[in-house]
Amino acid sequence: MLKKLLYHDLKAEMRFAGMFAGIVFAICVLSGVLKGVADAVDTMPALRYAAEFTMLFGGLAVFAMVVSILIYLLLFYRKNLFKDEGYLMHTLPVTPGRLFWSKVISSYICLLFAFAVAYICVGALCLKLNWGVEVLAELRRDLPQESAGFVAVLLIYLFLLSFAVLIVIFSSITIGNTIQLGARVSVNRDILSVLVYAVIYFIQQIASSLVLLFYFLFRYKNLLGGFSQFASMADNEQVKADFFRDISVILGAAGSVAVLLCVGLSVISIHRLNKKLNMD
Amino acid sequence: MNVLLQCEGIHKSYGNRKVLEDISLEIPQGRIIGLLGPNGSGKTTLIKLVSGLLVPDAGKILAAGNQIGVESKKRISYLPERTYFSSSWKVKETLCLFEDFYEDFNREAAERTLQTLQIDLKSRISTLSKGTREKLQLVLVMSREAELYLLDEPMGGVDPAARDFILKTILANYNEQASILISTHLIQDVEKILDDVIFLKQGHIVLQKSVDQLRQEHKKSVDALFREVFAC
Repeated sequence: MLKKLLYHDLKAEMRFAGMFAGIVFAICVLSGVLKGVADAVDTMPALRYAAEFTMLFGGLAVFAMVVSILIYLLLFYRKNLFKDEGYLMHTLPVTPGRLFWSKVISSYICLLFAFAVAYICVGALCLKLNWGVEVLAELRRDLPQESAGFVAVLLIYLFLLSFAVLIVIFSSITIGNTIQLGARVSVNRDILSVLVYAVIYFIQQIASSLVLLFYFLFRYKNLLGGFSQFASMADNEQVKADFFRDISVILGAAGSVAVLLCVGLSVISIHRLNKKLNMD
Repeated sequence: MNVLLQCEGIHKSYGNRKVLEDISLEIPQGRIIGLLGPNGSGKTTLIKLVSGLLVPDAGKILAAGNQIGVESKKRISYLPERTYFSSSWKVKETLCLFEDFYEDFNREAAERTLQTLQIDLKSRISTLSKGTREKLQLVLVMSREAELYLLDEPMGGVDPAARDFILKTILANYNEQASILISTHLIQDVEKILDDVIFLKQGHIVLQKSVDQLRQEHKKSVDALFREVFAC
């Protein structure tokens, strides 16, 4: 059943994402072609200006595409589970857990698709499809040899972060739409969802800060002194490797906290869909 | 005779407002039951509880021998009082969805009926009129060979000709082994097909009888009795 849910959800989500990505890709390819022509024909300043303008427009369009697709995915989740379409979804013979995970997984695939298209579009704008490889290579050149693993940790962290963001927002929407209110209390469910998100964000920041504090206490046995020592390491070439190793550990710990938070939020969301659903 | 729906001591409140109080009923196999009551009596709430869209505050519901969940949803076919398809979908996609998730869905029968209604499978839901969307939903719901059909205001907001079509569709697809629970205000139209009625008033069941018994005892139609019981 999860495969069938994924198929239908992806189909619905990619309808918008695919169309928008296609338009932005076309704009960026056009811009790239214009840039290429402007580079080849040096004698036409108007062409150069047109190329630069379309590059700027293309860059903004790429940013707008990623943001719009993310917003669409959130609105789709809300509409499909808590508005009229929810009358269909919640009466299908599938568990609430599968409903939730189908949305999370299909939205994540759409988001990765958006990132992939954004990468290709930026490559088209600057006529260099391997621009990402060059950026990573330059980053690794700046790092000491011993901290080569830092780039991998950073990429994994960013990879997990986008997944975590989806779960946090979907859970906020779920909790906001399943909180029981009194008959006389009338609060917009979207506002409630935003408030729930704010609370979760606050808890997440406290948890991350605690991770940082405990790490400094454990590593340096002294909080303030340890922080100063850590900050000074960034400028000291001899201990730069230790600095990036520490950052990797902190990122790893913060990532673990995020994973735990996401697991907890998923369990809460599925429980609320199962026991507190209120399609009124 | 098998009991397809069993509700025991169902309570449901929205905050301080009690919507259903101590509802207990049994629906046997092979009956068409009218769930009748004025606005706000709890009809839609009861149907939503059985279909799994709401969770009762107290009490037990067994549908087709199962607690409300995946197994009961396989056996219950639910028609809400609103359009529940995305307006960007095509009619064909709704058929595919029903076919994917419901093993008892008869796609050929659904397509035949839609063809009779001249509803193009390639048309988008957004281009269909309200009445046509309701007909589409009814065709899909009644094309399932379910054990229990829950129809919430199936004739609300449609013209008399469409109401006749809806009643015909219900009877044409009606499986004698199944039961149908219809919630409606339009008693005059639906009375002719009902076997039993349940009158719901302010969250309580005030009457549950067969239509024949009711007519014999009270010497009046269900519609006339309804007006008497729920007189303002």
